[in-house]
Amino acid sequence: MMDKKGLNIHKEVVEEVTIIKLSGSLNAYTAPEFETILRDTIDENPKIILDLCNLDYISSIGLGVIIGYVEDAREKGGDIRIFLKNNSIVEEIFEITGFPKIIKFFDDKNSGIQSFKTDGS
Amino acid sequence: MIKTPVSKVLKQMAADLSVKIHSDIDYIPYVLSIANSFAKISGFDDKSCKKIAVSIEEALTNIIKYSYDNRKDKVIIIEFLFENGVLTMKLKHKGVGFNLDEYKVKDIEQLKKEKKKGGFGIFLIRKFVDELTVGEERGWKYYLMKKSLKR
Repeated sequence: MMDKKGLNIHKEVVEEVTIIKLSGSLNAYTAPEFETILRDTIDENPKIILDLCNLDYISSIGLGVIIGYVEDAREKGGDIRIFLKNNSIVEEIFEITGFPKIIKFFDDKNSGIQSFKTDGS
Repeated sequence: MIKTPVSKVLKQMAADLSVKIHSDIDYIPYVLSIANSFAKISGFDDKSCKKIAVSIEEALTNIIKYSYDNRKDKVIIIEFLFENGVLTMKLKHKGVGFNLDEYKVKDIEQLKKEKKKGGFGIFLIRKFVDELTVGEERGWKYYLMKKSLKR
C-alpha cells in the first residue's frame, strides 16, 4: 500500500542482507523518509540491496541520498547494491548519471544477495 | 456520433494551464500530478510523462532550494502550454536567478567520495526535455522547458 507521500518502503532481511524495496516516486518530497530508513539500516546491517524494480521514477535528490550513503555502508564493512529490471526510466536515469561506475547492479535479486558472500563484503 | 479522443483534439489545438503555489516541497506531488495529467492528455506516452515529471521536479527543487533559500512563503507559478505538438513548461519565481553557463556536471566518483547529495538536477532536465532556457521578464525569473511529442 502506498503511503500518503507516494513512496512505499518495505524492509526484509534475507541471508543477512537487508532488502529495501521501494515503490512509488523517490523525489524531493519522499527522499527524507528514505534517507532516515537507509541511515538506520546502515547502522543495523550495512549489507543492503535496494529493490527498485517498482519505482516510478527517481529524481536528483533520491540519487543524492544513495550517493551520500554508499561510502558509509562500505566503511562499515557492507555495501549498497541495486536490484533493477524491467524499469526503463529508472535504468536510464542511473545509466546517464554514471551510477554503474560506483554501484553494483543486478537484474536478479538472488544474485545480488549471493554477491555479498562471494566477494566477502 | 463518433467521439474524438481528447488527446487527438489537443494535438490539433492549443491548451494551457497555470498553477500558483507556495515555495514548499509539500506542493511538489500536486504539481507533478497536474503535469502528468496535462502531458498524458496531450498525447505523451508513460515514459515521456515521467521524464516531464522529473524535469518539473528538478526545476521546482532548484527554485525552492537555491532561488528562495528554502523559504516556504514565496510564490512559484507553473504554466503549461501545449501547442503544435510541443509542450512548453514555464516555472516563474521572484528569487535569485540561475546561471546555466556556470553549471557543470559533477563527477559521480567525486560526489561519492565527498558524500555529497546533489549535482544532477540541471543535467537530468537537459537530458529529458528538448530545450531548457532560463531568463527574466517583467520582474519574474523563469525556467522555460520545451518537449516535442515527436521525440
